[in-house]
Amino acid sequence: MKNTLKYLVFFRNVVFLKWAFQIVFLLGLLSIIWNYIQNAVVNLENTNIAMGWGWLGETPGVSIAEGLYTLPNSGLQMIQTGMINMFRITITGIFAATILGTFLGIARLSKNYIVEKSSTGLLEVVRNVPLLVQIYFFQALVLSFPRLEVFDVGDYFIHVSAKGLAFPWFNRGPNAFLMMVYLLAIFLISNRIYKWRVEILEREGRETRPFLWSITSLVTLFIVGWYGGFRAVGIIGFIAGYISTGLELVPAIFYQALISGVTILIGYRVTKKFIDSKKSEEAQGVFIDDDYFKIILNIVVVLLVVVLMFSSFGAGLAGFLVGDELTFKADWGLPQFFNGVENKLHWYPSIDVELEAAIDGMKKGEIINWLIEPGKKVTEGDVIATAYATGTKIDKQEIELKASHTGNVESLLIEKGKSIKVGTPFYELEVTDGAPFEYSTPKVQQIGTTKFKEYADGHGKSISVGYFAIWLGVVLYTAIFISEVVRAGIMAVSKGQSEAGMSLGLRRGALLRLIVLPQAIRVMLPPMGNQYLNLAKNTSLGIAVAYPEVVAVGQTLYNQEGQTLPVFLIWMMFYSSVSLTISSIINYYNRKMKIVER
Amino acid sequence: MVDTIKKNIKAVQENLFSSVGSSILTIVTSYLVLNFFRGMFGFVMTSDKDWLSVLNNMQLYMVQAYPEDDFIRVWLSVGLTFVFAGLSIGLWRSEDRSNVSVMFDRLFKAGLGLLFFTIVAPTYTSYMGNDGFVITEEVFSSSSRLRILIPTLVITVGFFILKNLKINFSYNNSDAVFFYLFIPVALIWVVKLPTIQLDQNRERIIPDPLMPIANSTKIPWTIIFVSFLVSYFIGMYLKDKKRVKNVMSISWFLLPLLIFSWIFKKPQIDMGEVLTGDIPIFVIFFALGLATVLLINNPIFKKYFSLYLGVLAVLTIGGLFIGIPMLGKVCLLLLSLFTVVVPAVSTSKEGKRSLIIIWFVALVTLTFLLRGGASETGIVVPGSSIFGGFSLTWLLAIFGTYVSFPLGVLLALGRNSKLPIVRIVCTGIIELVRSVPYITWLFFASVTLAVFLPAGVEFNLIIRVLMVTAFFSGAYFAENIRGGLQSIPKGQYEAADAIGMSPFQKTGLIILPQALRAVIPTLVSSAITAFKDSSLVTIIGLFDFLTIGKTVIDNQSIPVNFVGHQRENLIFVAIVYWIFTFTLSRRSMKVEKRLGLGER
Repeated sequence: MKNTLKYLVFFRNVVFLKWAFQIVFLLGLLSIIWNYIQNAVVNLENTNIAMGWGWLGETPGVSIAEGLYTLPNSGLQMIQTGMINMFRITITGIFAATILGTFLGIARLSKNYIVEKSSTGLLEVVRNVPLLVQIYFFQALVLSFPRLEVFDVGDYFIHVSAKGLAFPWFNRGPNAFLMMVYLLAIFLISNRIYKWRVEILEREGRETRPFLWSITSLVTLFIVGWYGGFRAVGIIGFIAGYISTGLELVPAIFYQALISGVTILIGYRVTKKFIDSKKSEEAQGVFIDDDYFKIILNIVVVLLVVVLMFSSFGAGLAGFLVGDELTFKADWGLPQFFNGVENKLHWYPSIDVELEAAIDGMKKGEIINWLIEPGKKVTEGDVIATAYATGTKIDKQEIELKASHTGNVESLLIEKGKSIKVGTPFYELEVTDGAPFEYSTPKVQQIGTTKFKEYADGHGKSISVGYFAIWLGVVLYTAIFISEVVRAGIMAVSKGQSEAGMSLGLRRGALLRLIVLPQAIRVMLPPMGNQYLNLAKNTSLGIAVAYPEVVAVGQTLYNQEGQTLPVFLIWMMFYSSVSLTISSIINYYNRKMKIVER
Repeated sequence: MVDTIKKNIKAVQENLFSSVGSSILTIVTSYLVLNFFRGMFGFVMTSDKDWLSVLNNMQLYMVQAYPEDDFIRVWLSVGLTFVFAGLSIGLWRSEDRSNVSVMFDRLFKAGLGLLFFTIVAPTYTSYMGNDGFVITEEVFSSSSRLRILIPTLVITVGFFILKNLKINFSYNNSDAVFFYLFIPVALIWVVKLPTIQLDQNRERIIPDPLMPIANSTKIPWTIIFVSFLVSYFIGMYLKDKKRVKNVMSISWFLLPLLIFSWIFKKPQIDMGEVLTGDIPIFVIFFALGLATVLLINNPIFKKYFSLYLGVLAVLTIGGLFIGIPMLGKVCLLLLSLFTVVVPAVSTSKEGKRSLIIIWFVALVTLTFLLRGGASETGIVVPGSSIFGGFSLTWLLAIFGTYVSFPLGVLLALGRNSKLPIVRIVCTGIIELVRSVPYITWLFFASVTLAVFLPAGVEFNLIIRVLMVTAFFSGAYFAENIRGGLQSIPKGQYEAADAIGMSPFQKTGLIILPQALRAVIPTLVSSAITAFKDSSLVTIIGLFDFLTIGKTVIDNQSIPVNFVGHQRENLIFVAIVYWIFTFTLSRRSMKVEKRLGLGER
């Protein structure tokens, strides 16, 4: 055999032909792409719009209807706002759609005639109408309510108007983030306790009451937390302060080297594992052309990353991480955790208090005299300063500014005699009192001296028409598809399993929890993940109802700056990373749930 | 009688009140469903809804601004589709028969349902007026309730009696289709609908007078119905001819092409181009195909056959990038595909003859369609495209599938290939395209794509949308087809190798037919998704069916003011989309059952 191979003409050699074809294919593809890129370069030169990323740092000069930064300082902040708006819908939507979908899926399997038929009817309607039509319909439904008028001003329990919906809500206070982290921590702790007790039960065979244990610890920890214990979480701010200081001290080159090193390490390990697997008895250490290609590809990718890291791209990325360029530095709205740069132990969250309009129509305030100083304690409602208010009917009206929270004053951000706009922070306060969440009901108020009305911030929860339409549309649409997944998953568990469970004497609830659902979930997870991906992608329809998610914000940006290509690249990177994140979470659970086969 | 009642009561008890939980669920769900129905009924019936905004704009919905002088072309398109449908129903006439008493039973149940809902329908409904005050009005007076109740009661009792007579008469299921079509066509002649009339001051006369539907739809629909019937009988007559069935299947594929390139478009043909361009190309390629078929058994030609195929392949790919006429490019592609199958089919004289006929017909059709497609349209409309409303939605849905399906097959084959570079590239394309929502690709088509094209080359927005749709739907199709490819057992590949098939023949004749057959249901559901997704073009400003309902009618103030009637129109749009997607999904379920795919 070997001898004949020797005399094979090269163009009759399968291996040669295979690689020749692929190289020609690759070259052809690259030349086509190169051709289009050349076109783009020429076209952009002709239109005098040089493609660049500078606009990310410039002030876009437009406002966003809702979100983290309604008046963004930079393009990056604007895109961040869009991204967070998108996450608001995606994350709440995934939970809501899963719960609703599970109920609908079980209803579809119900033996009750009316329940089964009505859920099937809902399924057939929602599944067969385009999502966009549904979203438009929900929007039109809310918009058909009257606008907010003068006689609407006042307090309500629930209110619906063409401006949106408002309902009572537990609003976040300054301590809310600490409390949320605390809640997460105690859930994890009680979960661990449950598992620990179950382990003892399985090992020793005695009754250990795992559920009682975990619920008792949860309740105890919750009570401790409710009466101030949650402040222990403040230690995270302390640690985060050191970490962030430390990270900023390290030179940029360190990050470039770190990422390159990690890539080389991963590449080495992957390649080594591959070579080892080839040396197993089955493969007998024979390397064919595809294997060589795989190894070469690994090396090329690693080299490419290393070269990229030490080019201007890598320098830019490191600069972004270090935060050299201020415009690119973002705090992502979690100041409690990431502002502890002064390395002080933060048992209490410190906030920048913004100037509020003390009287109607106030636009600016000029501090006449500070009545507080750093280190002093203030209680809510105390007079902290006297000031002139400008923008009202009477010019330079003298007013008193009152403390919004109880706490210790950390620093004064402006000197007396200086004038600032409403909404700008003017002193720093360490909040020592106040519940993490405060219950309140909605309130309709006038916007300044204009004739327009709005739902007041911090009073109940108000959601805009766009948010309502896109959220309801996406949740309902996904829930319907999830209900099909759930139904298929439950049906996939064979009847013998539940019969076996019943013969063991399990009750119905325990049967579902211990026998049917664990097996159904295994079938359900991959299609469920697909539905979550679809939900995340469908939030992009928010642009149709003027909800400022990342696509809508991007469109506003390129209309302003003319940079269509970078915006498109940002969309692509953003959605790709969201898709990757969701699918890797699903894959993780999928692996965890997999039956361990012999 | 008593037994029947007892049996029914028992059935109700078992289905609805088997346990306490079940009873609670029954009561809660019935309450919800009833309230939903009452709410919807009130919503539809209140006087602030103007359903004439839907009825009066039907023409706008269907063809947007297509000129009235050329309406015969629209009717021709619709009629041709119905003729084809009639022929197909006749050709594939099923032998399934239904008993008439089963139908009476169904009608009796429908009557009962109607009675029930007429009784529970609300008399008064409240809605919020523009000033924010709640208005209560009578939407369903007792007299109109009685006017519906009494005839329904009589009919229901009639069906009950008919059902219990147990008439032993059955009818063919396919024959029933023409009866279903007969009812709406007959109703067009009888029913009068409210129509908008304006007085001298161009003010609307209220209440709107009842008028018969204009002759513009009455006569065409009748002609269409008659030709449907005739074609149904022709189809029945030709039922046993297998070749006719094959021709029919291909014609269904070509029909949209014919409609969109010739009938709807009214192309202005430049005879000079036909004589200097089309006919010579046609003659050359026909001669080439003819020579291939005739020479295939020639030993010298056989020796260099693979070389010939290689040259053709290179020419086809190269042809895409050089400035030869479109017809030449497509003919080259077709010739390469044709040459691949020639050796396998032209073993007998019979096979050779049919190959030549097929080649001739294919070339004639291709030349004809491309000439129509490439010519300027003779229709003058305001706006950039002669397609608008429902015709645009269909164009996007059908052509979206046409362009994305072949690309999907290619991508799936590439992703399943043994060649690593090809596999990586195809996987990359599929995953990249799928990870980004469709709307961003539409924005790419509407704003960014122009940047990548050479200076001076410009495409209509519809074409650009079709270009990105090809990739987007193609990636989804590819994933479905890949599932089918993976379901093919390895033995099939080995068997094809064993009888000495080339890779092309193996893929085209053995693997793909089986793989595609296995994934028909998923492909149909992907096509349904593509149809629903076509509504997204409304965001980038194309005037599709949804845009007409959502924006155009809502902004209409001349001659009649329809501002603020968006909800009615959106409901109508939803119903139309629902009818098409629901029918399609039900048909695909039936096909799935017939192929026995669910049982595997």
